[in-house]
Amino acid sequence: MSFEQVQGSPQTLAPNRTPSPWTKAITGFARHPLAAIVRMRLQACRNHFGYLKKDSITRLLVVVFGLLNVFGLGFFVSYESFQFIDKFEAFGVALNSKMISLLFFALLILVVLSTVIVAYTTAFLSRETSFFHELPIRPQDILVVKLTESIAFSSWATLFLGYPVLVSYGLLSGAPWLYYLEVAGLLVLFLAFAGLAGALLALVLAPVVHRLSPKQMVTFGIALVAALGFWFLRSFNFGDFSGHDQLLVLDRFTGRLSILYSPYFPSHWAAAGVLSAASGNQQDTLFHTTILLANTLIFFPIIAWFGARYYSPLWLRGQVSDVSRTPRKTKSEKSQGFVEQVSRNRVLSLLAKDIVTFLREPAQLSQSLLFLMLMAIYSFSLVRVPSTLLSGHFQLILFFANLAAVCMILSSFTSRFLFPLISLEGRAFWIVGLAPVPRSFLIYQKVLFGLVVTLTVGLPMAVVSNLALKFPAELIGSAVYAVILSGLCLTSLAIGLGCTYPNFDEDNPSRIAVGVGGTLNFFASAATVALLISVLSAPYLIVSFWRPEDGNFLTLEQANIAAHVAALLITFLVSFSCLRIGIRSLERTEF
Amino acid sequence: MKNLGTVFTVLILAFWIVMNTLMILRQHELEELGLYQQKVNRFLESSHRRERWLGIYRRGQHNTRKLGYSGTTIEKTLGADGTEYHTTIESKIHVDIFGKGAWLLQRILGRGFIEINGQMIQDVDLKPMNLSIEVNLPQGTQFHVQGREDGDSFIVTVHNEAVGLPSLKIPRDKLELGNGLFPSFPLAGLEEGEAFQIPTFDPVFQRQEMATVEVVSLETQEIDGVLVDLYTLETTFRGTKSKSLVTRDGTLLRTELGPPLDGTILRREKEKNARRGVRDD
Repeated sequence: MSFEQVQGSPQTLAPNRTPSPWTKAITGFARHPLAAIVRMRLQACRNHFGYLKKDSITRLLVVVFGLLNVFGLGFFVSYESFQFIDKFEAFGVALNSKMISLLFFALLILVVLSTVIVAYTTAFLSRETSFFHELPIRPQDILVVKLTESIAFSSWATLFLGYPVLVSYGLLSGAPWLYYLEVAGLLVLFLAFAGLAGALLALVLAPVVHRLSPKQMVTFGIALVAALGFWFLRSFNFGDFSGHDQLLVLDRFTGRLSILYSPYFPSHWAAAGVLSAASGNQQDTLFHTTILLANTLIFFPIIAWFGARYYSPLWLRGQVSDVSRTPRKTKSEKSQGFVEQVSRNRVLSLLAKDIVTFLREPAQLSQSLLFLMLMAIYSFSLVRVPSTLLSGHFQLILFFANLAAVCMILSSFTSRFLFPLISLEGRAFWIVGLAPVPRSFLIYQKVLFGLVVTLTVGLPMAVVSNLALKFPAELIGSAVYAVILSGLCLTSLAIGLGCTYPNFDEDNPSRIAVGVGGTLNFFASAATVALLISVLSAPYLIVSFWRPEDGNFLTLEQANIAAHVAALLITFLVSFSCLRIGIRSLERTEF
Repeated sequence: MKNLGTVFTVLILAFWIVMNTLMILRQHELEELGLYQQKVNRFLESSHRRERWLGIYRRGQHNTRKLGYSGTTIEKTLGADGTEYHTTIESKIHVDIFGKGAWLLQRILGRGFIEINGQMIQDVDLKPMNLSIEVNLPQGTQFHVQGREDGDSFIVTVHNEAVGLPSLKIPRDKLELGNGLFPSFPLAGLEEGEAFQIPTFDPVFQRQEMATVEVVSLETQEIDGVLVDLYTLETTFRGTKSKSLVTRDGTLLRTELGPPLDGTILRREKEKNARRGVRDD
């Protein structure tokens, strides 16, 4: 074919067919590798929704219903809290506005920390990133895709939980209708800022993290968490006050934390924007929003420059350092003996594999450390509960509220760390499948592993929180019993549903946990916890509302025993059915 | 199109520089303000519009009688020439509140309530730009007090349908608006030992007086069942001393006046409650 045949003769080409610069730009972008990745993601989304449509619309409805419940609950709790504080005329309004500043401060720290972890994992350790590096795609384009995903993953939940809080604040302070639009924009912008800051921090810290061994990383993580925890507790004058003066301490804490009000601190821009919007001061809202926008946009050229110049060598160095860490040159005879001993036992060898896989993943390790820190803060913060709430009916309400909180934390733990266990075996599942054990054995092993981890985390938290609340021994015993049962239920649910909805193509545990199966597991876990707590608290409710003239056919002790037996039966029913569904599903799966 | 990235980078960088410079300038402007103006800004930090409603009581030998109320709204807003403060006042005070001096006032003004309604607009330095107040005296006499800036001075004119009074020319410095009885100032972020001198315009006596405010102490007290950090302020105005309790964020809880207005208490109330219970005899 000659050149003229391809291009056409000059006469056949009409002048209006000459592509305009815009057409050229659009065509250019369509051919860009970045556009190909975007198209791929959109197609994946379409396939995902298509799969949902075919599989079960009920599942989707459960997820939507659950998310709406989370939104509603977030709104209700924050509205009640704001209203409670607002009743104190002496400082209510001012304290509520300080709470908004504190909210943005906390969100900034949490989103930055979470994005650092997710961005590092996604941009340097993900298998898809390695795959993209093999394709003719510019490193900065890979970085853009990976960081966008990381920011979206680490902040979507915050958006979903933060917006109802701002809506409730607006309703209480009688904000104009424009406020609700303005704060939605401000929150999105603020999360983008925090996410981009976290992403940049991950890139800057990457060379240091590459050089650290897992042991050094854990030590560094513990030291960081301890320092932050110490600073946080110290700023609250922890242990120096009783429940009577909690609001005073909160007022002093928010009043003295000068960084909350520093005009150069990002959380202040967002908080000041929200407060201005609530009082209808549009100019001030616009000013703070524009400051936030300018400081968010500045990350784009910086990250683009960093991506073009340093990302590829950094990523390569990460691969090399991973390899160099793997081989162990020398092993003592003692440890060799231990390894041999472990490898002889089927359960122990699989457990060792799971533990090693978990420890090798920095994201899993760092997120579990954060989780443990939050649990420790929760348990110790209960020391401040007013003594008036520790007797009579209040004591029982507090006991069950604490029990529900502990079990809900455990349900988040199992949803985040245990649900992805089967999926994380990935496409290499067939290797494990070749082991001379039935697949059901693998599931029971994972349940055993999950149960040990869940109870190791849950039981100390239940005991410490109950001791902090100075509950009697029989209530502490009941709490331990409830945590063991809920641990069994939650582990079986997470492993069972993890087998039913596996995602062997995904290597990022955060993504697996927030998928449809993960969300379903989270809501099922929350419902199970609610059922168990309802059953265990039923005797006290019945005794409270029982009229003496009706006569008592059961004493409180008998009703308690019946409730504990009923909870045990529910646990067996839930665990058995979930594991049965999971085993069936995994046995039918082809690799 | 090749240089599109560079163009965007330059635009973003320029936008970032402009916005951050504006932010620094704005902060610098705030820091340049006097201590009093900074405290007023701290008062408006939690909300750009704050209200203060006070019930006015007089403690007798046998009972305490409500003799009026005073409501002030202060709002920080952006006007044509930059930041402006709009202070709106609404007061209703019985002449009996003036105690031993009340008989003289009753002879001049008659028995009943003095009502004050109006607004003052101040610039970023809290210097008055505009004043418009209506004063109703017990016998139905009505005065219009109006003020306007005139170079370095602020000219206040008072007139009613029958009489026109000579204008009052005061230096255009920071100025606060009194409520007809005893002024309360919108201050927050106070420190023990701080003192302020605040020129205050009294709409009843139609003249400017200097008020002195001193932060005496910081104590923790129980209010509404919870502990609150409270500052005690001592204010001197027209020879009368008062003690006020103010929270960290500037909420005024209570003011007790000394001689010659001793027994007079100004107490924080909700707007509806403040207006309630104020009746003619």
